[in-house]
Amino acid sequence: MSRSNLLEKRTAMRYNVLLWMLLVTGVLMLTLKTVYAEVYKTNEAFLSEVFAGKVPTPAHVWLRGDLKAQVNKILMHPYGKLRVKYWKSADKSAWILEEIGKEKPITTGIVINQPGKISKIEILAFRESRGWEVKYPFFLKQFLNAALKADQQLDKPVDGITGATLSVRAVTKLARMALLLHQHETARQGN
Amino acid sequence: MKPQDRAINLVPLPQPSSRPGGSAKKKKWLRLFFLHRYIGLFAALFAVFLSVTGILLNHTEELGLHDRQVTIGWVMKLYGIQPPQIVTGYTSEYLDKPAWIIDFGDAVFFDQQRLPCDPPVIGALMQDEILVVAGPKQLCLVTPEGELIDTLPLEVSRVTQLGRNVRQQLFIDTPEGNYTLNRDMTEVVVQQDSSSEIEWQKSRTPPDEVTKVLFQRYQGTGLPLERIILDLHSGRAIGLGGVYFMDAIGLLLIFLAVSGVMMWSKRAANKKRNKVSR
Repeated sequence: MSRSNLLEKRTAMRYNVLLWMLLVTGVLMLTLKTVYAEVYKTNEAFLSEVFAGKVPTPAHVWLRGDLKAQVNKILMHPYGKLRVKYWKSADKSAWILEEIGKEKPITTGIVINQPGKISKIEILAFRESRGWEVKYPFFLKQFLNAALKADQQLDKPVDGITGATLSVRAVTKLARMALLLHQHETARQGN
Repeated sequence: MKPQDRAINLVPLPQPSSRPGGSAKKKKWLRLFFLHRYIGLFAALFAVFLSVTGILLNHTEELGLHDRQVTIGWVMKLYGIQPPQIVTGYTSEYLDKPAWIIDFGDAVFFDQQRLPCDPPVIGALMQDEILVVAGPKQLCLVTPEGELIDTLPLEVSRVTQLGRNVRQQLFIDTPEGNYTLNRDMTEVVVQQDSSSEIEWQKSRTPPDEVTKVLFQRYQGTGLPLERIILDLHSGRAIGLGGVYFMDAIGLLLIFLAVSGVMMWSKRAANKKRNKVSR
C-alpha cells in the first residue's frame, strides 16, 4: 500500500471515529430527553368497552368531610380534585382515577360490580419511566373480585413486582379508593 | 546468569508483522491508539471541567460558596425561576371586595394564593362561591381556599372571554357562540339566554402592591453558588440528559485510564524485547 493511500485511510478513519463519537453522544442525549408517556387506551374507549357502547351520563361524588378524610388516608395525601367523576349503570360503576407512582400520574380504569367487587381493572395511561409492568394482566388479575374490608384494605393479597413497587402501590391505592367511593355512592343512593 | 549471557542464548524475536496474525494484532493496537487519542481529545475539556468544579466543591465552606447567592437572569431562567415579563389579572368580587386572579407567567394566583390551574388565564369569575378560571381550552373550578374542584374541558371550541349578565349568569364566549355551566357546574353547555346584555370581563394590570409580593416570593433571594457548581459538576444543570452525559464522560475517562495502561505496558514490553533482541 502506497504512503498516500495509507494517509488517506488514516484520515478517513479519524473522521469516522470523531463522527461516531458525536453521533453516539447526540443519540444518547436525545434518547434521555424522550418523555416516557404511553396511553394504552383512551378513557372513551375504556368506557365504551365497559358499557358496550352505551356510556351513561357521568355522575359526580364530592370529596367532603369523612369521605375526604378516608380518601386522604388511603392515598396518604389529598386527591387532586374535590369532585370525582364516575359512570354508573344498574349493575356496575366505572371509575377513571389517577395517582402518582413516583413522579407522574398513572391513569387507571376500574369497574366495580354491584356486590362491591372489582370486575375489571386496566391501566389506561402510564407516564413513568419505570414500573410499567403493572399494565400486564398477570398483575392486574390479582385485583379481580377484590372487595374492601372494614379497615379499607383489600380483602385479598396483591403480590408486588420487583422494580415496580411505587406503581404497584399506586394502583392498589386507586383500587381501594374506587371501592370506597362505590360503597359511599351505593349507600348514599340507597338512603 | 549474567545479562550478556542471557542475550546470547536468546533467539531474536521476529517483527510483529512477520509473525502469523501479527498484522491484525498491530491493527488492533493501532485502533486502540487512535481511540485513546480521540477520546482523550474529546474528554480532555470535560476532565478539566470536572476537576475544577470538583476542587471547588471540596472547599465550599472555605470559599463561602453556600452563602454567595446568584441572581443572574439567565441562570435563574435555566432553573426555571425567571419572573414573567407580563403579568395580567382579572378582578372578581369575593367577600364584598374585589379579589385579584393573576396570570403570573407559569402560575395562577388568587390574591397571594397559588391556584392549581394552568395558565394562560382568559378570564376568572366567582360564581356561587366557586372560582371559575378559564383557560383557552378548559375551565378550572376552585374553591376560594384554592382547592381544585374539577377541570372541565371545552372540547368544541376555545374560550375568548368570560362575562356575566345582569342576572349574574355566567357567559363563556367562544367563536362558535356563548356557553355556560350547567346547574351543578359539572358540564359546559350552550348558553340559551341570548337576550341579556352581557358585561364581558377585561384583563387589567394588577397594582404593584399585589404583584410585588409575588415577584419577591417567586425569585426568592437567589440561588446558592454551591448548588449551581454541584449541578454543573453532575450535569444536572441541563436536566437528566446532562447527568447521563457526565456518566458517559466518566466512562470515557475510565476507558482512557485502562487503554493508557494497556498501551504503556505494551510499549514497555516492546522496549524490553527490542533491548533483549539487540
